[in-house]
Amino acid sequence: MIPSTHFLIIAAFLFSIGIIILIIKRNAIAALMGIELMLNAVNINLVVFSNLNRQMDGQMFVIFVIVVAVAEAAVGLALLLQVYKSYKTSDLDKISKLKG
Amino acid sequence: MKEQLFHILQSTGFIGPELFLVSLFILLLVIQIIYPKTGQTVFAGMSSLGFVIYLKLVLDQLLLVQLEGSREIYYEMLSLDKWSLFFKFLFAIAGLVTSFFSIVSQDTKKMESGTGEYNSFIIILIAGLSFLVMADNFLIIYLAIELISISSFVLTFYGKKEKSAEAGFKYFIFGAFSSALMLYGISLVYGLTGSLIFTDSIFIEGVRKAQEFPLFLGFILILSGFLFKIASVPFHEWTPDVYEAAPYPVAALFSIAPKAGAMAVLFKFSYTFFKISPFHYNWKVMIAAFAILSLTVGNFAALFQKNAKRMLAYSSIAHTGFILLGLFALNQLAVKALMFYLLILLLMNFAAFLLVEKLAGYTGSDDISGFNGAGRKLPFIGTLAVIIMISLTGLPPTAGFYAKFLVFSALWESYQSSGLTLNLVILMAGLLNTVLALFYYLRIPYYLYFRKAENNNLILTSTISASDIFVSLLSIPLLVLFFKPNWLINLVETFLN
Repeated sequence: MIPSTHFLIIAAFLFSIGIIILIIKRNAIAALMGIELMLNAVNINLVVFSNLNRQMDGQMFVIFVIVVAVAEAAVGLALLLQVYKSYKTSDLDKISKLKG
Repeated sequence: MKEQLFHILQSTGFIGPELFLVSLFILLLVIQIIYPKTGQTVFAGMSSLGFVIYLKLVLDQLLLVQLEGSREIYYEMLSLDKWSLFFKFLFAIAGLVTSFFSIVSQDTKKMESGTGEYNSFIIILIAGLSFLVMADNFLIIYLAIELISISSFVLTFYGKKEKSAEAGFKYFIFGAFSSALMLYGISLVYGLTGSLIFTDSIFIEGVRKAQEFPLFLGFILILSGFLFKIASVPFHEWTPDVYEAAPYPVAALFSIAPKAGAMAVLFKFSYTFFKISPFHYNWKVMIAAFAILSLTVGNFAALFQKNAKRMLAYSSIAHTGFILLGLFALNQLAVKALMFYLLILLLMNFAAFLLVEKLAGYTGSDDISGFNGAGRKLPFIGTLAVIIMISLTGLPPTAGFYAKFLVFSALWESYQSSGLTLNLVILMAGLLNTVLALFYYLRIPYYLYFRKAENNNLILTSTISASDIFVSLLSIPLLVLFFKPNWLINLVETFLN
């Protein structure tokens, strides 16, 4: 059996990749992908801990996280579509009319 | 099995106000689909009626709790106590004022379509908040925060300006990022303690026994989710953009309601387990650092703002700092100070946003320099502006003074009881920041009265409009409560004892 620390390390690794994508990628869609990656890292963590603690709570939590992530992505993409309509770009650096 | 079903059925009776809000949300959406051209007045009127009923239901619950004591429902998922009822009371008022504001505001009055959706998102935002303050379980906290966040992203977009979509999307990126951080923190804390219910004895025992570093990391990550909601430094970047682009009523709602909800949970956390956690002192130092940073960054940035809405956004960051000072002190007086401060902040922020919108309507721009000389031509609005800005600064004779005074007395008390120099330093930093706040708040009255008007194209009307009455209804209590602060303190105390 694979020890659970391995899973935790993978989750931490995925989470960090997600943060890095969010910081360095300039495309809005890529930023959304980074957020997805972070959420999935959390899911791995929750399942592992749920297994360690011998409870179902963590696994139940994962299902909620997946559903909410979909809803959030839908709202995010709808907003991005509106942004694209007025700015004709999905580059996060160029979407910056608000300053002060 | 039968017992469990019975418990669930029985618990459903205790979330009446929330169920009511959710059904109102669905009702408004359905009406919107059937009659797509219905105006703002109808829907905002319906939702304000809804908030009155919600307020009534919350007060009924208060009577019940006073008689039978607080109780846990849905297997320790939610708890119904006076603490959560106070915040539900506050949200009911905030929702009611927002609905009225939507009727008088130019931003939302002219909305041609989607008025039903706009109002239903406000309703579901309040429903999410009232679940948040009742939560005893990390799962509910996460779901409630997401409910609040997602409806906030959409509400920002209703400014219907080019900038609104941009602000909404920025808000979305920050919000999703911070909720992912919070979730990672929750997963770590869950793994270390073995329970998601943070009022449970298993959880509290777990906090005592767990390794210090990973647990501390987990709690910092959870805290970041809340700091985002209360717009504290370093999670404040979205605030000015969102406040500038969102419609006025929405910006005013954002400046109080999500803040109150997140602070309620942070206080609950502090009382249930931070006091016994092994890193208690580090935690306090961190809260103090965030408080001082929010105060300083908010106040300094507000000094250089040209746009009145952005200035109010930075001022709300500074107010967050004051509320966090109360969280740092964490004694009986601090709890009372928090409740008092939030109620006053509700009046002040709604009044300030209404006032800025009125001035912007008269002068045609929401830049502070555009208000030149308007005070002499509009004496009524000018006087109210002086009252509101003095109250936001925290000077007598306004209730804003008492709000800040209570926070500082709570800090002083904690210094007296602990004798730590840190507490005194923080008290001094808070006082200095109050002086700093004077400069930018009084800039609006200064421009109104002491600058010559450059443009004479003020659109003057001699009739008193509904929004005039509304803004004076919000600002007169600020004066009255300075002389009779006991009225509000008595109200707060009914929710405490």
